[in-house]
Amino acid sequence: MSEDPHKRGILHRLWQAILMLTLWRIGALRRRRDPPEHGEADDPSRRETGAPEWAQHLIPALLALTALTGLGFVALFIVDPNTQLLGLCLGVGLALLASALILAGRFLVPQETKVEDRPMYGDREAVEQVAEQARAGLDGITRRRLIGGAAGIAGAGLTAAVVIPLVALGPGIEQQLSDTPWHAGRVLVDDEGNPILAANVNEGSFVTAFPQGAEKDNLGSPVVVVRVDPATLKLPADRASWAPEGILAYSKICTHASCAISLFRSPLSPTTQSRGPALICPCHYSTFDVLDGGTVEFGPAGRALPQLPLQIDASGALIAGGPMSGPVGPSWWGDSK
Amino acid sequence: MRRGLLALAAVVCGGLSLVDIAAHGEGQTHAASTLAGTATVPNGSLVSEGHDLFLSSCAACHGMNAQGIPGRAPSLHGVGALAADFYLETGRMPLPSPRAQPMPTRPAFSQAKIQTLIDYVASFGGPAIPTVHPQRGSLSKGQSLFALDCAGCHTIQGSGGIVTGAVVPSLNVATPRQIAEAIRIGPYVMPRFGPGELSEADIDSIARYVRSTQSPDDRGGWGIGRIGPIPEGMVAWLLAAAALLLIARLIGERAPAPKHAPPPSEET
Amino acid sequence: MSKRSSRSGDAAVDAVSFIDERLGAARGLRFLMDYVFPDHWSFLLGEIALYSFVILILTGTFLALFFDPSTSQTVYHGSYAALQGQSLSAAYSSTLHLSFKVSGGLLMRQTHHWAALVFVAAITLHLLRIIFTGAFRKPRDINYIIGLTLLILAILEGFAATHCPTTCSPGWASRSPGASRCHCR
Repeated sequence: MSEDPHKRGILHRLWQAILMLTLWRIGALRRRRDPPEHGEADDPSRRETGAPEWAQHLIPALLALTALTGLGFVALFIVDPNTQLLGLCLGVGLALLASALILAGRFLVPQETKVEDRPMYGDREAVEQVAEQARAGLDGITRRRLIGGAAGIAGAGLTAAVVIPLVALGPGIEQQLSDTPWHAGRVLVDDEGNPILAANVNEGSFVTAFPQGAEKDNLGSPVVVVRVDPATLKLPADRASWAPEGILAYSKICTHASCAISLFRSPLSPTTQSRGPALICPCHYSTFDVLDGGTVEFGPAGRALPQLPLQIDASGALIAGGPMSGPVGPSWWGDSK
Repeated sequence: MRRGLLALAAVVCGGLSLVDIAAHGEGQTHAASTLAGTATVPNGSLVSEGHDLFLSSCAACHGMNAQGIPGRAPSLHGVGALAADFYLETGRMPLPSPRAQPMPTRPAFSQAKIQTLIDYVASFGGPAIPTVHPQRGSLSKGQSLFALDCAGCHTIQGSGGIVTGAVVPSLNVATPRQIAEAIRIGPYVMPRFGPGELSEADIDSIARYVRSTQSPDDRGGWGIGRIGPIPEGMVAWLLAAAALLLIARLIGERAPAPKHAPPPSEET
Repeated sequence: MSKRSSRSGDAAVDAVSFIDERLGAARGLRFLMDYVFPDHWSFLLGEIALYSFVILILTGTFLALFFDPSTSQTVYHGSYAALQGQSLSAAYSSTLHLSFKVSGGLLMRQTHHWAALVFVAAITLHLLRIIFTGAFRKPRDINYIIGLTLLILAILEGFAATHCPTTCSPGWASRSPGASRCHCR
């Protein structure tokens, strides 16, 4: 579809006109203030007084309007504290105040240009005197290095003592990262505390589960339970019994930055899709392959997702077959598995 | 000028037809259409009409008898009217190309033709089209379930997003029936939830919640797309900071330009 | 017992001598009044940062009167229907209370939020001005370090402040306890 060159020309010219008008206005604002002439002395100091009448009327008017908007805000607050109206009132009031101040600064107060020499820092004499007095404080002390060194290591030692309590924020000295509430026989329960039956976990679905009776807030607690076709499993040999009927459980806490893994990519027709089922973290899209033990398929996670061995007990409920396969949560130094 | 008017007229007509299709899609109950709880009893002549349409539009991938073609498309035996209705009403099927992700778009067929296809696919058995009653659901329960099961991919406002390997559609125009169907099917890479995991009451609640996200209470004013920090950052930097920068430029002084070419001097 | 009054009748003199006779501030005030400040427009960028910080302080004080920075779980009974009856952290619950119940609460919260964003943007613009005019050189090098520290603190504070009430950013389940179930609690 070719553009009508005549139309384009008009639009183009219109745009150019707007552009030139804008630039001219800005330029006109510049020219209004005469730059000081380059005299022999080249001293830009000057002082201009004389507030024009219109400014001395307009500025009080703006300030009066500001007062009105302030009162309007008060009235609105009492009568109908609608957020948008309140914001509009306050915004307009502040804009009016700003306009008044800008105009006052430009047209009301005396316009003054002053020159100030850079302060000469570096008073050699005073520096010498201060240094002399500091050195005088060491008069009579002969073993200066010994005392200085002792003060240094005392400072270092106490600083270490002051700083070390911050370690309590982290994994901690006593609390092992691999301690989770999961152990053999612990029942998996859902958000409301009901045991999860194997029959209720359908292929293609995912369920969030917790250890029965344990704190949900513990980072090691939440797991994601999914069911896949057992024939597609590619678990390592030592985990062959961890997925009864193809039901798998993985930690819900991403090994990258411990967001909750809440995405489950579950292809409906494997014949037409090359990507298999995977758990994905919403924060940075670390993708964990569920079929081969939670290895990282994509994303910034540094290690595989810890897997929880599952068993189905006599009543058909899912129970843990042992502790997690590895530490839960973000990878940290020393842990690269 | 004339071309512009024609284009405008085309857009308006297209828009009206979209509204027309959408309106038909939700409200119509065909005499032979299936309702929740009743078995599929498709109209015989519609089934054969559907079969003809199937042959011309779907069999290339799904096979002459909807048995599926390995590596191309799955079998439709047992997917039921539920799946057929979902994929056809939302325009996900037919796919533009075999490997493409099914995306919601304009339905490719008229409502009548869609009904024939639904009846044909339903004749192979499978779940019926669900009925959903959002007004019976609990908004809070729906929010809780949605946050737990859906918000990871669809975002808490149903704005959609991405996962590794697929685009997650927005739920802004999803009808309660489509929501229920998608939950049961788990289309493309979406997980699916059976009645044992999400009951019909749960789906009512989820549908009610999603409906509430479609007309949200924007108490704070402009929602800016309701996807969080990125649009907010753009507004803060590209609108607010830019405006403030402009104001600073306008109200401040500029360095005076030298009148004539200054001799090389020390910097001031 | 005689009260030596130095009132001269000139309002300006009286005001300044009031302070000077108690604090010895006249010389300092003279220095301040004589202080010459460049009026180039690029010097206003730091002021944008300053005033957005002032707004943050004012709105933040108001918010702090209502916000409960606690992660203890409470059952929410408020006007936001979608979370009615759910177990939320006290922080989130108080944030909802601020947004929906407190008069002007949402205005304060929004102002605080946007002032924070503009704050960081203004600091960055100011930083660019400092860099491109070489104002980081001695004797203003320590000043520059202080400014950088302020930038880092502003960013850290931004993280901490959005982390506390856990705004329901979609899909961004946070690390805070209770959020391990992917709820923004």
